[in-house]
Amino acid sequence: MRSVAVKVGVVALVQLALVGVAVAPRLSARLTGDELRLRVAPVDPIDPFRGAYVDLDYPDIDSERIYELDGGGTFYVTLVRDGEVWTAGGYSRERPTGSPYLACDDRAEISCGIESLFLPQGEAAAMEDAVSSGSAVAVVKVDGRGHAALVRVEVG
Amino acid sequence: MTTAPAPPHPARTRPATPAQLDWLAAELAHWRSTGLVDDRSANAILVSYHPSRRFDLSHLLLTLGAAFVGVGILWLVASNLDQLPPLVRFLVVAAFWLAFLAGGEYLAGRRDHAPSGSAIPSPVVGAVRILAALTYGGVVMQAAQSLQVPAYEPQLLAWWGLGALVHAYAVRAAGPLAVGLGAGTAWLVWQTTWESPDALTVLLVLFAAACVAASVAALHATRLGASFKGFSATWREVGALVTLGALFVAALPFVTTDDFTASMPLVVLLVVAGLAVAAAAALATDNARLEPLMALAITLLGVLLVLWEVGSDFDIDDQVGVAGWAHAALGVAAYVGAAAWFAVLGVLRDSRRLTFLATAALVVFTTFQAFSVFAAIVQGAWLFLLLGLVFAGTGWVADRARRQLARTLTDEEGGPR
Repeated sequence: MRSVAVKVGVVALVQLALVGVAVAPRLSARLTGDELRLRVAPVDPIDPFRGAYVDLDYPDIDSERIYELDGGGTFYVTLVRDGEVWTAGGYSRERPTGSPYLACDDRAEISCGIESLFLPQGEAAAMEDAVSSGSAVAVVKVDGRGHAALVRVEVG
Repeated sequence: MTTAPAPPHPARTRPATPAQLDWLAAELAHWRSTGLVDDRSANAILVSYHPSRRFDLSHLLLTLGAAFVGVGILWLVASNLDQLPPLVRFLVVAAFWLAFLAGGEYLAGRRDHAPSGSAIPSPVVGAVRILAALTYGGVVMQAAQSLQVPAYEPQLLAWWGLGALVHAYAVRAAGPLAVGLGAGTAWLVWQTTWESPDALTVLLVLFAAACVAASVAALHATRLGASFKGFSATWREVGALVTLGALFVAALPFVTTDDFTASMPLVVLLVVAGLAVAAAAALATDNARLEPLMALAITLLGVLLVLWEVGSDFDIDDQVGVAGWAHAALGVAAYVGAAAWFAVLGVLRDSRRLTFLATAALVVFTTFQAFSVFAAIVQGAWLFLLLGLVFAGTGWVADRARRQLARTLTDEEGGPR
């Protein structure tokens, strides 16, 4: 019976570690990141494994500037304060030094890890309407490596 | 025939289907006539089983039940229940996963320590293990949902699959392996089609994965067989599914090398697949070494079909040239050959699932080709006439081959012709 307990314990620990790896950037940002506010606009739909969500667009991150970067893969967006919110200051394939920045990826589509807000179905629809009609702000946490996690969306 | 006193009935008999008992009774009669067993032993063997269909039925119901509960848990995660905060939802799903994981091993441990002879095979352990592997997917998805990982992230399936594989190999259970390979295959197809800008890269990735699966299946069949029951069949079936899917696409005349560039990850993957095939061909024994080599041969055929660009010689709305005919013919011949190989492999390995998969793939392929590709070459009734003759001819050839094989085996055994 002891060997069964050890086996179960080892499998459980390895599998839990894999869960941690799967969500590592978001977990790191949540635990160690600084909270920033970015303006946000909605898009919509449903993920087959995780349900309804609001697909968020960040108007202050200029996709045209990203398309101008050479190559594909990881890129970085430096953030600069603009009143109560933070906006994109520069775009680069090189990791910035200093100011807060986002580590993003454009291999398949542009993603900085903060594009989806999962909510119960009814709330998602309401949030989408609210974000569409007002000046919503995404509260995100960003860690020292540029990993960002969406904490909540505040509708003004 | 001598008469012997009937041996005492064993305290507990093992279940067997009526078909299995019929086979056993016939074989025992043969063994008695050849002196392999005496009457007393033959009777003792026969009375140690009792006919039962409940075993198959309970296995089916338990597996279905585990699958439904697992899917239900995944669905509950997707429904994003707002009655519970995200962290509590994660803890609830994780508690179910741990309970199933530990429960499955507790039940398996009880059977391992049961007195010899009383361990009647039970599908309950397998069902609970499948449930644990499916619920682990729920844990991954709930963690990602709670932390707002962006939607449609294919890598989550990879982590789920990897975790299920760890579970499968740690406890040597085929159920979690099936779940892990299912999630892994779904990830592979999703990730490559999502990220790759060209068809040839996607096909090369899929063919490489199929070669690795065939290699692992061959190694399980000959080198690791006893301690990993059912693993070889699962790897083989996944390899066949991916191979036939990739060849299906490769045989389409409009799939070309456009936009293809050999990226470093692709080269590394191809090298790994090549090493796996070489290792399996060298280490596997008997006809198992054919499996990776045939996977490699089908890969080369598939790549050849993509490299052979018919271009303007194939135009669905226009006339088809000689090159178009030749490409279509090679595509059909390659697919029929590959499907036939997997069907034969299913017979050799006693895997009805593999034979069914190969047959179903052939039907889907032929129907698709008939309406989307061959319709440009052969029209209307002629198309069906031709396909019917091809199927009937293939069936006749297969039947002749089967009879020849049976005759050869009978001759080798020195039995009556």
